[in-house]
Amino acid sequence: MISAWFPANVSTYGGQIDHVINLIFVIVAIRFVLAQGAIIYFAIRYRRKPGSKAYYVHGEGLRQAAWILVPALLVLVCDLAIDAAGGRAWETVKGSLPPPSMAVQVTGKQFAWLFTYPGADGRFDTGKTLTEDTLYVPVGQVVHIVLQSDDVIHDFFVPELRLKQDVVPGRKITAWFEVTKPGTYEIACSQLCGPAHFGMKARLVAESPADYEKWLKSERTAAEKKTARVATANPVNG
Amino acid sequence: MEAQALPKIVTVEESHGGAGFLRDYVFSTDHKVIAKQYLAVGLLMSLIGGFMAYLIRVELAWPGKPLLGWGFIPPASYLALVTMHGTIMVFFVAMPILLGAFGNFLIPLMIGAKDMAFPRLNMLSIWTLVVASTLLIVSLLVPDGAASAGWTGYPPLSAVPAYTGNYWGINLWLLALALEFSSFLMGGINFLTTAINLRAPGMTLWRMPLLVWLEITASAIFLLSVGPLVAGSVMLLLDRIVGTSFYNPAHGGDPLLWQHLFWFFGHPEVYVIALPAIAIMMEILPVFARKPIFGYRTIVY
Repeated sequence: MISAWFPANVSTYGGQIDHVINLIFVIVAIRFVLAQGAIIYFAIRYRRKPGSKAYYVHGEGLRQAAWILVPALLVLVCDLAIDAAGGRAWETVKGSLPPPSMAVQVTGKQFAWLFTYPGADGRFDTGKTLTEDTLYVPVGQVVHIVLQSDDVIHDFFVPELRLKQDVVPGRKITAWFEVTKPGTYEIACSQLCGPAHFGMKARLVAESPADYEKWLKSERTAAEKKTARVATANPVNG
Repeated sequence: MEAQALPKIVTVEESHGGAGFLRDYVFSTDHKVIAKQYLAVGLLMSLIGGFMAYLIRVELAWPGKPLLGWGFIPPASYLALVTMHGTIMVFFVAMPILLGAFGNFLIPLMIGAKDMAFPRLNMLSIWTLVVASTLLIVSLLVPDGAASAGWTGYPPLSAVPAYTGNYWGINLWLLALALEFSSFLMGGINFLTTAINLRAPGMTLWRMPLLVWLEITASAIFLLSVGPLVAGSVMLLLDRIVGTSFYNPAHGGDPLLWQHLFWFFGHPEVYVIALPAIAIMMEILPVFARKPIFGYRTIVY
């Protein structure tokens, strides 16, 4: 199918999305071959030849209009099939929020992505958060990302995850995904956000849960050391 | 049977009594002259829009290199190119040619009317389009750069000048669009009134040529859908110039409001453009197949 040409799917719901695209492709391909084939066949078969007489079919009345209405009905049936598959994919990706193993706040701004991890207490509001420029996640676990923008509309897009979500200022939008294969994947901004929109990229690094925990611990320790260093270098009453 | 004498073909100048360039052309209310004026605007703008397409494609093919006939394209200029190319092609090429030119020229001829229902409104509508086009071209030359927020102009990128760096570029873009919308609102009223009221005796609606049907359907769709965008554009202009917050979430506005207002028009707009093109196809094909179109009534429905 056409999804064979897509970037590798490493998301649990990616298959559903690819299925919708493949379905549309197959339906359209068949209709295309039939329609163009018919046009070409009729254009040649009934071309103007000496001795051939044109036959006028008016097309009025239900019996003749059926030639238009029945294909139109078939289009409608195909549409409904696509709607059903699409609806299922939508329900999974946007309509449901499976319970997460972890949550990250993702901030889009002109022109960078920032990823804020909760403090060791699991909360975002106690000032012990970690801000990174790379999104680290464990493989095989549901991740929630809470998307917000500081300025204009951005779009968080990871092709391999089949995830694309507009990031709208004034809103906090929660998306979810579960990575199936470790690796590094590109995060691209997909909504025009100004002159440096093209360069607004980041990386998603998916690691085994053990590696992820190791990374998280080392980042937290480094952050604590840095805070301690800063505190001794700038004593409050100095 | 005696051959009828053919009607005498007169030039525009002769039909106006040779009154001079201004009278014959600028102040003409003749639907054929106005149709050709719409065509001229569309073709002229297509040269500009087409050149922009060349710049975009060559830049993508060989990024960072100077282009033949232009030079280097910095990122902000590239975005302005993409924005203006889209705006020009949709609003200043496709609509003037498909609706303005073909509609104005053919509708009176096809229904047996002498001219449009409101010839002077017709003249005003093409003047408005010329002013709109001029404003859009001027917006390419302003110091802060042409509009670069995309042809869909989503805020807050388009609502806060600091985010794009464009000030007059986007303001003039909005004004040009508002004027273009009013031009086609006037034209749409004209088309509908003409087709409903000025048909020759004996021509029922079901005997009208398909092109007339599709042009007035396109006009009706446009009339019904453009209002919210005109309002939305005024709101965006106010956000930029006066400091209102229709779309600025920092002060209680919602960026999604523009998206809704824009696309409420945006989807019907593609049918406004498609129907006249389909109509032209459905008029020409029967001529060369030498038989009437199949299923005229079904098509109209």
